[in-house]
Amino acid sequence: MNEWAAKDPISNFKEFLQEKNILTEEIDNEYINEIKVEIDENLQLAFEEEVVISSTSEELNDVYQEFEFQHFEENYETENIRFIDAIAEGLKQSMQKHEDLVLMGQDIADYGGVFKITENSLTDFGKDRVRNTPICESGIVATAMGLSINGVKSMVEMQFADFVSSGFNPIVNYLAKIHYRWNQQADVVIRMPCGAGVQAGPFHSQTNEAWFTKTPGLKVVYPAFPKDAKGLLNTAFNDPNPVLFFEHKALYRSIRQEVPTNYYTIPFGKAAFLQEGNEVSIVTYGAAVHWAMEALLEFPNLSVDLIDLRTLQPLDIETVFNSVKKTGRVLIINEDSIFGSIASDIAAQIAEECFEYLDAPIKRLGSMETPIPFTKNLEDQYLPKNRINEKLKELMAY
Amino acid sequence: MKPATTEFTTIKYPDTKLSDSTLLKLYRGMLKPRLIEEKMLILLRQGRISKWFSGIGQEAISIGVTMAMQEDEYILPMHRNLGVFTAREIPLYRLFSQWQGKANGFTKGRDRSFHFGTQEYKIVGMISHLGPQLGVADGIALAHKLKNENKLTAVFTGEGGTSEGDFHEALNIASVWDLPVLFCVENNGYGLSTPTTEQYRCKNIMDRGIGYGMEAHQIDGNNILEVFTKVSEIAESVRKNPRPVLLEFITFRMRGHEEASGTKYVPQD
Ligand SMILES: Cc1ncc(C[n+]2csc(CCOP(=O)(O)OP(=O)(O)O)c2C)c(N)n1
Repeated sequence: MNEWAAKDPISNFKEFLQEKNILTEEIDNEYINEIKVEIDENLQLAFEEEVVISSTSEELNDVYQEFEFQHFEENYETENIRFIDAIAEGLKQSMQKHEDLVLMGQDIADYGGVFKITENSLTDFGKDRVRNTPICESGIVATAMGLSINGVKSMVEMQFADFVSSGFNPIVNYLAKIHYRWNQQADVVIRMPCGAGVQAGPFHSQTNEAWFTKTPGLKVVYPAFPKDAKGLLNTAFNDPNPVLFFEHKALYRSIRQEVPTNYYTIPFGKAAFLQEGNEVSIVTYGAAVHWAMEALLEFPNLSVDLIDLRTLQPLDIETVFNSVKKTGRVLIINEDSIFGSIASDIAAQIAEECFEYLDAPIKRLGSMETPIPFTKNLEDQYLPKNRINEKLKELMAY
Repeated sequence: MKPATTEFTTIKYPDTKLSDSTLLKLYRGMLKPRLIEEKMLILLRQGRISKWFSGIGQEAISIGVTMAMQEDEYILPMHRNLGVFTAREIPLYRLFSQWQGKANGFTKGRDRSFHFGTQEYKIVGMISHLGPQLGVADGIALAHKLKNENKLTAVFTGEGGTSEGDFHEALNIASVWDLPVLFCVENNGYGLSTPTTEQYRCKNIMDRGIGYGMEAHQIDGNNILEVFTKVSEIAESVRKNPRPVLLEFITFRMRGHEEASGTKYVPQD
C-alpha cells in the first residue's frame, strides 16, 4: 500500500510538471480552487433539488418505448405455405423493409440455420447483415444491445430456445431494463425455436416463455399459425422494444395455411377466436392451440370459445375476461408445466376479475412437473395433449 | 503488497511531444475526479450520501483513455471511472443529482451511482452485473463498422471482471469480427477482497490476448503520459485498421472496494 501511495498518479505528475517548469504552485492552486468552487456550486444545486416524485402511470409508461402500431394490410393473393416458410418470408420482407436490420445466430449464414429458416438470406443480403456467430449466447445478445445503442436494429436466432439460458443475463437485466433506466431502446428481436413433441429430450424441448413474461420490459410473442407468425414477426421488427419471438418446432413443418404473399402486420396484444360459443372458454397458445382443436373434434355438440392468445406480453386479458363472463366456465391450457406458468397467472386474474360469473372452478392444464423426457411414450405422458378430453369433461360435468 | 506484476515500480515519464497546454489539461483532468471524490468521502462520513466506490489512485487511466478518444466515440465505464464522466464534461450538478436519485440526473431516480448511459455524452454506463458491458461494446463497434465509420469504442473492466464468461465471449466475438474495441482492464490487485492470485493464474492478463489472436499491451496505469500517448497511438491505428486491442493497465486500488468495506486484507507494505 505504501509503495503504491508513492506511485500516486497525480502527485507524481505534479512533481514532474513542476520540475519542467510547466506547472507552478500558483497555477496548481488556481486549478484546485476553480474545481472546488465548481464542486460546491454544483453540490448546492443538487442538494437544493427536490426529491423525485413520479406517478405509477409514469413509471409504468417508461418500461417500454412508445410504439405506434402501423397496420399494413394483407392483400388477397395468398400461398399455401408451412409455418416455417411463413417465418422465412416475414424475415425476408422485414430485411427488405429495414435496410440496416442485421441477423445474428449460430450457423445461420451459409448453412441457413439448423432449421433452414435463413437458407437464402446470405445470398439475398450479404454477410455483413447475415452473420454467423461464435457459440456465445450472452455475448451476442449483448452485441445486439450495443447495435441498438448505436442505432442498428438486429435479430438474434437462438439455435434452440433452451440455450437462451446461456444468454439470460443480458436479456433480463440489460435489454429489459434499459428503457426504464435511461430511456434507451433495445431494438432487438430474439427468435426462439421451442417446444416439445419432437422427442428431443430435456434440453431441446423446453417452452420457456414464462422465464421472460416474469420480467417487465420484454415483449413475448407466441404464434400458432403461419399467417399469424408472419404478421407478428413483421410487427416485432417494427417494434423498438426487445421481443422474444417463440416458434414451436413441431409446428414448423406440420402446419400449413393460406398466407398473404405481401408484407403485412398484425398487432401485439390481440387474441384470436378460432371458434365462438357460449358454454365454455378454452384459452391457450402455441402448439396447445392445435391440441385443443383436435380434442374438440370429440365434442361436436359443445359450444366453445376457443381463444388463441398469440402474444403473452402484451396479453389480451380483456378478451379472456369477456369470454369467461359469457360462458362461465374456463379451461386454460399451456404446454409448460403448470406451476408459475402463463395458465396459472391467467387463472389468478380470472379469479379476481370474473369470480361472480363462474359456474365452475377455473381449470388449468399443462405438462407434468418434471424435466421433458426423450422417448415418445414418456413425452406423450408428460405433455397435456392427451389429458384435454378428460379435463374438459370434468369441467363440463361440474 | 506485491501485485502480480511489478515491472512499474517507479513512475518514469516518457519523452513526449505534447504541448504544455495538453500536459496541463491532463493534470487538471486528473485533479477534478480526485477532488470530487475527496468531497464525497466527507459527505459520506456525514451520512449525506450513501455508497461510494473509490477510483482514487486510478485516475490516470480514466483520464488518459477518455482524452485519447474522440468526443463522439462511445466509452463504457465501470464503477471506478469517475474521470470518464468528468472528462466528457458532464455538468457536475447532473452527476450529483444522479447520485442522489434526483430528476436532474440521468435515470429519474430509478438507478443509482454510475448506472446510467447518455447518448449526449456518448457514455454507456454499467449495469451492476460485471461482464455484459464488454459485449455491448462489441455491438456498438459493429454498428460503426457496418456504417463505415472509422470510430472506436472503449470499454472498461476490472481484473476481477475478467473471470466472467462474458469477458471471454466479448473478446472472442470482437476478434473473429475484427471489431474496433479497446478492452481496458484495470488491474488494481483486488476484486473486492480477492487478490489476483485467487482470481486468475496466467502471469499477465495481457497474455490472454494470445488466446484470442488479439493484440495486447501492458501499460503503467499510474503514468498518465504513458497511458495517454500509448492509447492515443493505438486508437489512431485502430481507427485506420479496425481491430480489437486488449489493454492491461497496472494500477492499485487505494481504498476499500466500497467505502464500507475497508482495506484490512491489504498488507501495509
Ligand atoms: C456478476 C456479478 N458478480 C458479482 C458482483 C459483485 N461485485 C461488484 S464489484 C466486485 C469486484 C470487482 O472486481 P474488479 O473487476 O477487479 O473491479 P474493482 O472493483 O477492483 O475495480 C464484485 C465481486 C457483481 N457486481 N456482478
